[in-house]
Amino acid sequence: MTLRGTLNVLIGLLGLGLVSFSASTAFVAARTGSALSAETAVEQDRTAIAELVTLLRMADLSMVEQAVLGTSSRPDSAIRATQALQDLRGHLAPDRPERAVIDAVAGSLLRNATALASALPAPEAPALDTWQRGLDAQYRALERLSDTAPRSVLPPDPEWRAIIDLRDACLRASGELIRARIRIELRLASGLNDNSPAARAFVRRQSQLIATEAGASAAALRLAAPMAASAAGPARIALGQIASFYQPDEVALLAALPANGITPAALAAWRERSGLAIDQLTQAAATLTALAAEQADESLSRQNRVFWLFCLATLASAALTGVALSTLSRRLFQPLRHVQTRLALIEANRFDAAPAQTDAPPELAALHASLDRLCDQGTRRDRMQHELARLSDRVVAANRQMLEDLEAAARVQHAQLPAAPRNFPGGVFHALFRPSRVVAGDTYDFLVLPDGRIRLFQIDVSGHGAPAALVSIASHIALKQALAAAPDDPLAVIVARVNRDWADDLPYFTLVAIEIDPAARRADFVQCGHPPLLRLVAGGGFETLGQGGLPIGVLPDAGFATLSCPFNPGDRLVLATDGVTETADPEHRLFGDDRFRDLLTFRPHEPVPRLFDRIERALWDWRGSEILDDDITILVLEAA
Amino acid sequence: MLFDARTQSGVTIVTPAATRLDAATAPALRDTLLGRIEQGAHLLLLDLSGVAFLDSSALGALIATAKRMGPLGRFGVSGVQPAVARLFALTHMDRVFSIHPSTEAALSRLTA
Repeated sequence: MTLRGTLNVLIGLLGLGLVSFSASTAFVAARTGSALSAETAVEQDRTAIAELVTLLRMADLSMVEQAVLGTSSRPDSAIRATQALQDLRGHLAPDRPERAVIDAVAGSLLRNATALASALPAPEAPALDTWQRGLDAQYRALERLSDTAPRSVLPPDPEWRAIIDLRDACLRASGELIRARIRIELRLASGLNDNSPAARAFVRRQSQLIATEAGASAAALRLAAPMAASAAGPARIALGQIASFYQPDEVALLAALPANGITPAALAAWRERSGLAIDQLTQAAATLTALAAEQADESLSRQNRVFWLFCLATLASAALTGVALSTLSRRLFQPLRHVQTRLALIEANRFDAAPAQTDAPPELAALHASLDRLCDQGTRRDRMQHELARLSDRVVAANRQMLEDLEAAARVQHAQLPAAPRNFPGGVFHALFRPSRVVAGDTYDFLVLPDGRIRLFQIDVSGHGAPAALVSIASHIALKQALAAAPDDPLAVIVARVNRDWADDLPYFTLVAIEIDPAARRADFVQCGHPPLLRLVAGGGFETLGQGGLPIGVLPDAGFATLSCPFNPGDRLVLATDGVTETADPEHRLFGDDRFRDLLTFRPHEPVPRLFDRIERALWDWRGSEILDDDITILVLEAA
Repeated sequence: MLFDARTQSGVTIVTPAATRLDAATAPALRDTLLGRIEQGAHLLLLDLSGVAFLDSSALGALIATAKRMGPLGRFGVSGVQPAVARLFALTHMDRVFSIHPSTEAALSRLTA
């Protein structure tokens, strides 16, 4: 993965993490808020139902008080209950199943109230019984409605839930107190006026119910007391106090009830305390309801704040990630790409096409400075290479020119050489000429004098190549002119003349000059520093001729001797330059005189061209190459 | 150094390090010997006891040395090995410079 890809992915992932954390937090806040709203709405329904039940009970109590005492402590409770019932019904949507229940309860209540009103002011025991059973059934139906109302699936706010539970407990306790009050009031009213069996049975059952319901109200108070004690702030209500000032009176009343021994004063005190306790509990419930609503609002607005805060954080994270990616691209990747492009151009030797980035970051500016230097060096190198190439072209051209000149010189030099093989009046002349370079230090010539004598010379200028070739040409001309110009002078005299005339500052050369008189079958020769002549005798065997002599150009006043040998038919005179015997093998061993003589005498009658082939191959084999170090010339005069 | 040079009893003795004196070493040999003469060495000896082969180019250097020395002093060679001796004989070099069997003999003859 590229660096750019890695960094982009890392920053992208980081940004995505931040965005998703913020977004998920906002989402959770929104969901919690919406759940809270739903739960609050449900709770409002439940509160309405619970308050309705309380109002209905109060209305019942008011009716009982009206019937028993002729007056009521809460004269408007029936109106309020009816109003609350209508409100609840109106509040619920038409398709809510609770509406049917509420309608049934309302109808049932009306029938009950009518039935009771007809029995008053002296209700019969069975009528009261029926009325009370009906009421209980309706209250239970309403309470079930409250219990079965849908609850949120989210865990509720515990503090808020505690307030709601405490409020429910207060309402339940007040309900129980009202029920106990009604029961006792009715018991007192019926017990005083009627001794029929039905009335007695009613009274008995009432007494049992009273005992049960008194226990229930006591239990409800006991249950609510610790909840209230542990509740925070305004929710802390002294339910224990209510129990302590109300409970003893009720216990005393209940104890006196079977014997009808209740004093009017005790009755009045109980009624007052009971009313007080009911009022306090209802008020407490109202306070707690308000508190719960306040707390729910607060929670909701808190969740809203969280939601908006994290929505903002989501946007900020996304923007931050975008800014980070764009900065990375502008400050790092684009300059890096510039460097990359520049390097590619430099690699392609396009130094001018690769300018530095002017606003590069400091780290890369140093890099650009290095690249500038590379460009400078590259430009200089290009110029140098161009110059070198130009020089090289000139050298090649000069070399070609020189080679052409040398080849021209070689053609001149070769033009000096006589054609071979060549017949002459007394025999045949053969030549093997192998310069080691284009031009040679070796040379030779063959002249026929007007009287039929033959003159021949072989020259070896020390060294080889162009300098030797120039000297060789000069010596060739000197010899040829001297030999042609003085046909009657002895060879030694002519050679001494050439030696005397040879410029002192020119290199020396070795020479052998021969004159053959075919008529006399004799060869005269002068040897000047040259290897000895070999005479291969017609009948077999050979003869080494000459004791050496000074080369030409060493001592100007030197004298030379003319030697003679027979030149009979079948004889071969062999003249070779020292390049033949001094051919060296890779270990610097010389080919030597003996091997050369062996080659010459191996097949005495072999045609000379074949002999030359054999000698040449033998020298190549010895050298290990067809390129020899020195010029080689072998001349053969074969007597006919 | 291709050539070792020392002076003994007034004679400058040049000894080649190589065993072959040919076209490759001839220019250096010539420069060394002529250089000694330029520096005033009038008794000059080339010790050839370690030289097995000497070709015509090297011979040219010896001839040039002998020519340059001329009447200024004496130039000789010593310790000549068989192959070199044959070349000297073939070219009659005993007429150009003096040839001595050993360095000691050369010293006594040159300083005589």
